[in-house]
Amino acid sequence: MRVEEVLLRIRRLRRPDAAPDPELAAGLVHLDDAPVTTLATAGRLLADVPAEKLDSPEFPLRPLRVAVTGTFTPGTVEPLLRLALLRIGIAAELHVSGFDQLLRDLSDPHSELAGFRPDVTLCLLHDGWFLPAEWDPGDLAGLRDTLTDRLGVLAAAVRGHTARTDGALLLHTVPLSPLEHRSLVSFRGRAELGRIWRELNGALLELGERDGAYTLDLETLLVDHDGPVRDERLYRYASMAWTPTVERRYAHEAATFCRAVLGKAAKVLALDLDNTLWAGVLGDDGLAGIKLGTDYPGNCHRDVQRRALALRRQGVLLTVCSKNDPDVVAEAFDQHPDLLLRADDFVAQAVNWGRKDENLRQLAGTLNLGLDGVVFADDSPFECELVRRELPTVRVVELAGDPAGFSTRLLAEGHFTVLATGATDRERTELYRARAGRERFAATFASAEDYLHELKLRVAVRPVDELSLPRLAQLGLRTNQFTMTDRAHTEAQTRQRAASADHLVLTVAVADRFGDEGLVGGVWLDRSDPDTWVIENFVLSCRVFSRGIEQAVLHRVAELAGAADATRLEALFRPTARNKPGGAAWPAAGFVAAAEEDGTTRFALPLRPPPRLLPAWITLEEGDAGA
Amino acid sequence: MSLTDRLRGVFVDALELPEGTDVENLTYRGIEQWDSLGHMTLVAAIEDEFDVQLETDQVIDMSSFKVALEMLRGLGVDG
Repeated sequence: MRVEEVLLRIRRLRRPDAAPDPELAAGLVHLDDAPVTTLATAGRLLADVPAEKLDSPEFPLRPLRVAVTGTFTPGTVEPLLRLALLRIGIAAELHVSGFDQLLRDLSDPHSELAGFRPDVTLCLLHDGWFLPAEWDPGDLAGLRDTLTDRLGVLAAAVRGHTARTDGALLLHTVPLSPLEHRSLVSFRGRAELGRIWRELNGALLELGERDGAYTLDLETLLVDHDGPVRDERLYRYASMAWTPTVERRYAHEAATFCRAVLGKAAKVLALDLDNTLWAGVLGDDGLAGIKLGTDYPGNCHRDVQRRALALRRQGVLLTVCSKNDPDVVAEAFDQHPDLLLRADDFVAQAVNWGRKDENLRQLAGTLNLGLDGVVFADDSPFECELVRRELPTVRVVELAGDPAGFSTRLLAEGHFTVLATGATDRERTELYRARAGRERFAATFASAEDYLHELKLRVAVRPVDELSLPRLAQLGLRTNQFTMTDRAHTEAQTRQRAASADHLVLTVAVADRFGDEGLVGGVWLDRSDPDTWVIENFVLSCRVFSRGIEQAVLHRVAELAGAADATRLEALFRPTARNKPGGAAWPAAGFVAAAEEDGTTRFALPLRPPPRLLPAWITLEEGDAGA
Repeated sequence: MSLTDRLRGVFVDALELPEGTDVENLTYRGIEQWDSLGHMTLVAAIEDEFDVQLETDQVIDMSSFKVALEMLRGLGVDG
């Protein structure tokens, strides 16, 4: 869903007679990268949409009463907050107070806010409320006293509110405007002001340690914020203490807090392995070939492991969801010296060649937890989009691009944020592992053909040329899983075959709507017997398994052989420790084992009538492949 | 697109104006949508669309569509 489409669908829903749009709430995630003005627009529009028009079994919304009050004008936070809450499944009823109503709202048992009976009260604070209008730079001790007084007034109001209500209340630490810092001319004075200010923030944090009060450390979260905290124009004119981007950051954190109040933090982290927990492809690069050390990029992946381990120690359940050979993965967890995570750190592992959405469904079922409690982290845009589409409640973290940003991305959303952790959280992994047993997840190839259709897969099978030959030979030698032999052709052998009329060497390139995967496979054919073409080897990168691409390639090979009047296609297969996925391709395409000799199985497929192997969701690109 | 058309589009989007609104003759607080919060949204949207920074005085003085139009012309923005 594009940003424009999301906005259009929201606008449509505002009409009184509009039919419900059950997909829209899950689609709000597509606004994440939109400019803050767009988000504010969406949030304002959503104010007029009744929750029941957005609710759906796939993405259920929970009601929550949220009050917003502040020491400045908090009104512009409202649309961003509404959107941030809906995006994570909360249909909030919002009550937003006017300019500087905080003390009154919290202290007066008959205030409008008290009458609203909020489940959550968000208190927005700014430095100007604590600082006296005129303060004497020569009397910092006096300033400290004033701040202590102000804090005392605030603390009394907060205690009064939390004693009267059973809702939760959120305070936050307050950044000090650099303007105040620079009002002092001495280094020593600035340092002292800094210390006094941190004492204030320390006291605010302490205020959030008991009863129903909590404190968000906003000052820390704004360290990597892009731009100033306040816009002097809007501050002077409209008493707005935050720029829109700070409001967005706050809205996101406050929404996360609300979810924690509802007890809806994610409980499970499902991790991909190749190029997520380590750099490289275990099945192809081998145990020694994957990168995990102290140098880039291995150190980035190691850091992801460190963060995952920290999550586990705080009660998050780790699982594996990977397309791999289970024995090879078990060996890696057992033997790789640089792995921080071991098999015991996971409550369950889904390691197979099946679809990841199915595996996640099974994982959640085995652990007896809802899919809305699952976070799925993977480097493949294909897998991420598949899971987003098939399982809208699963929270997807796409770890694509530079691995240096992976750890940040894994934690940025605050999926696992809870109000507090305790001793039992640390033991949760053991508890659940017992429940899950050592179940091996069966490979499932249930179809979601509509998704594959929408992928718009295009496969091109072409004769190898000068440019592609070295890359093809390398791919053949490096591939260990989808390959038919452990004796792949060297570059010289491939070159020889490419030049010989008795042979044909083909490359496989794949593209879909996410982009061009480039060269992902190849076929080495012996056609010295015009009646029977023999596939000496067929390799495919593990990036593109389970999408029917192998069938499409074999379809084209059969077409070429048929066009040259061959009546039979044969394929050689030598099983190795790792190439089970390759061997499975032959029976799946209708080949029958015809002979066995020296550990090599010879599969055969008649070409009359011409076999129909092309999946409906793949387009074979035309090209002169018959050379 | 003319400057007037672009600005009209910004007003319609930022204030969520219904179809058929007489945008050119709008004044601050003249309609429900253009209240103080709507004003802030409008300022942010104008700054985004035309890549300008308004002075505080300009933010305060922007009391009608026509004033906003003149202000943008004064800042050297044209169609």
